[in-house]
Amino acid sequence: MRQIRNFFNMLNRKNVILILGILITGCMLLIVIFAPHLEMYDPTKMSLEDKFIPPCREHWFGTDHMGRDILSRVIEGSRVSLTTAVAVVLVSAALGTGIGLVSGFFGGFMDMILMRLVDVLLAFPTIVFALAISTLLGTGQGNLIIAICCVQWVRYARIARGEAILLKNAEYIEAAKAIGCSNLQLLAKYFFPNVISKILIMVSLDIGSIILYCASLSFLGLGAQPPSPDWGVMISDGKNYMQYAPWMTLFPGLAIAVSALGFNMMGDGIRDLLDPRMREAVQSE
Amino acid sequence: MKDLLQVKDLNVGFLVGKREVQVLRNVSFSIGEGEILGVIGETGCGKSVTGSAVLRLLPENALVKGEILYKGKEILYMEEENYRELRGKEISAIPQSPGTSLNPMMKVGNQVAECITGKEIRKRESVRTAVNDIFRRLQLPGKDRCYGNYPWELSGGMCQRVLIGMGMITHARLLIVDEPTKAIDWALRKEVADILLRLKQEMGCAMMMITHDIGVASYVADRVAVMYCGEIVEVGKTEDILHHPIHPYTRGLIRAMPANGFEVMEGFMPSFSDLPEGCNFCTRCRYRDTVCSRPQEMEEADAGHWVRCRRWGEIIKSREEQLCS
Amino acid sequence: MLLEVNHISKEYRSGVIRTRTVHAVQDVCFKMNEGEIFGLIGGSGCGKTTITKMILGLLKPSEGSILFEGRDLTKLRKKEWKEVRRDIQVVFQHPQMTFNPRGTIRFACTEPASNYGLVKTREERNRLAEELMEQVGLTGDQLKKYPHEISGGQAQRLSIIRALSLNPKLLICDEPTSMLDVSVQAQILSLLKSKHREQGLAMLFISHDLEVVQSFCSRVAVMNEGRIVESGTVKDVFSNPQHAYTKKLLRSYMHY
Repeated sequence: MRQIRNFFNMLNRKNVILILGILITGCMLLIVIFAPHLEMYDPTKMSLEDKFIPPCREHWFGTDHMGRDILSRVIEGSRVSLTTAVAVVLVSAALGTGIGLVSGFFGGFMDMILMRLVDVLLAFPTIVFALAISTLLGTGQGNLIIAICCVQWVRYARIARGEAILLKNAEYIEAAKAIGCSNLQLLAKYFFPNVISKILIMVSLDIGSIILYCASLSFLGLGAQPPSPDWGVMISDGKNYMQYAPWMTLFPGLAIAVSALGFNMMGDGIRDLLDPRMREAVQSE
Repeated sequence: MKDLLQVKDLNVGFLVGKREVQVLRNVSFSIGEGEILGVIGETGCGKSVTGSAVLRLLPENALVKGEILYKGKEILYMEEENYRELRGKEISAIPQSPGTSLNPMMKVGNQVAECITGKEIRKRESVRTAVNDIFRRLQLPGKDRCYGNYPWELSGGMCQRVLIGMGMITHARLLIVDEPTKAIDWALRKEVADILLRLKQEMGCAMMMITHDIGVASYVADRVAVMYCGEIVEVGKTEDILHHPIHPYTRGLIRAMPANGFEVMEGFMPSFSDLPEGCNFCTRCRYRDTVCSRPQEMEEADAGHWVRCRRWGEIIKSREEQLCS
Repeated sequence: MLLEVNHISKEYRSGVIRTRTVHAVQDVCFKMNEGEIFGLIGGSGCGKTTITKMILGLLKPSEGSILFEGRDLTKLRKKEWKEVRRDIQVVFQHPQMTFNPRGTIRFACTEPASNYGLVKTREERNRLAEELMEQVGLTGDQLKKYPHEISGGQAQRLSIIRALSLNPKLLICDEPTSMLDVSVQAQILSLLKSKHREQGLAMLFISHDLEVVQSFCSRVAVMNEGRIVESGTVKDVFSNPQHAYTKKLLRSYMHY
């Protein structure tokens, strides 16, 4: 309870970025939840006589080359794009934290092997590597998630391992060993809670860029397949008609930009909030 | 003895949210020319705040009332520019924790030199000789060698001496020494104490030494002030305070020393936001009485020995009875 | 004999091509009887903490053996260690840093007991927590707090009392009062002394403060640069020091 109250106290302190971020992501969440009720048209229903209608009263965002309503597709697309991004971040954060903690905690040979692997993965540009894996696995939503996770976990592993190595020498870890905690207990009760805040900050900062990764891979045709309205796919569809139907790319592009911005702002805000120096400064006043 | 520094009824509070928490109450003391006043007390009793108040280094949310006179001149409300002249040249400070008060990326000699060059631009060579002269006086080992060392190359005791050097290079008349023996080894405690004593003898500078270490205070200080919960409860000659303490808190403190059998004082120091009515010590005091719930004034129990306890007469009497029996 | 430390050494090697060896502890021997308070004196960096860690099994000595009730601690297997740890507990120098910053006091002070299955249900745990708090004069509402929210003296008393909740035979005190004020130090020392008297608890008391050691211990060893330079009863060592380092330490004694 106290933590929640503290949290709101800190919000009062004109943390505009965080509030804006939360507002934007909150709206996104509402849209994802209530998507079916918000759509005025069936997002997959084609009607060739309605194609390329520019934004007007009936179709706020216009229609695409198949006569589908773009607003409905953008709303429906939020379900695909955002859930993919969140799934990617959660899976890779869990995987990376686990591997990093174990690696840093036990050290030795396994740590060396794992960290060289991490170095290799970090040496490639993320998107290129994800592209390679995704081509290998084939197209589809699930494969897209796996591909990005394969690349993304290393970031969390790095952080978790670094933290674990720092913690290993802390006095309270030695004290815990002296009172008979097993390795499993140490990892679960001592290392994990002390690392999780750092990881959470990274997660909230990363979601924005993951949305962009997902969109770019979908744009290249490696993610969700055409009838399902993914934002990346929509831009990809629209690029051929850019000259006389720019709204086809504009609105999904805006959706990507706004959601990435929202998550980034929230991430920044959360980082400032959880940064211990910052937090102490707020609490001591 | 002429008074160099006089502090009269100093009150300091900190604004926490919209409430003011009073940290110092009616703190009054004076330091004569070439005199060392030891301010002793426990963590959080306000002794460092007193030092910061004299140096005018309190944070912005501090509310200060009272008077601080240096050589008879008011310094608490004086223009910041004029005060800056004074701070460094006349009043100087030796911070605590040698581990964190020195810049790790800068040679110690240059750090000390910076204290002079910031004020008056002198020739490089003469600054250097002045610094080496100070180092020699502080008995830092190696002929002029320490100048080029980085802080991490020196031991804790040596870093402490470098800090002392920074405080005294401007030949200040008054030094505020904050916990000189806190972060250093027991074996070096005496060395640092000896240096402080020699400083006083050779350069005749007065000091306000803030410490929780009763041993050091008794070794170095001419007079001692004991602080408890933001008030000075007893002040007088070192000998009087440490060997014939009157205030129940001082007595408890002396009895808690390991050499005296570490007798435990009842209770804990209350926090500033919930002090008892009247005497701050009354809830823990063996001699408490109805008069203790009224505010206590400083009273002179003996020549130069002031106590903030209305029952000092009875306490002395019971002490004498104890001695007789 | 409770604890026998026989010729233990610890060295650290650094560098690959040009190896440099640092001897943290060299050829240290001492013995402790049951129910004895043994003082280990030395300045910072003299190897006192390394010895603590070796006795606790957190570090392996390069040479020598440590016998606890006749068992060689350096040769114990992991399972056996868990049993022995119960009998050897430790109190560290920085009271607030010995607790998990993310755990409440309730969690921290009952952890040893629950690790060894002394308390099983949540109720038993709560009851134990309150009992322990009472023993050190803290109120129940402090249980909800986090380690950085209580004072150094309170934290140190808690870390002592939680170590003692396992009923150890040996308590290692690694500079337990060096960060604390005189009056709080008195509380800690008298708490330790009363446990010593009541339970016959043996203590290895590590400190650089001669004043505390003199009034608290019965026998002492003086360490300098990883070696024990002098040992004996407190009376002998303090009144008739033999080694130059001990003499130097005693000269820095400031009587008041």
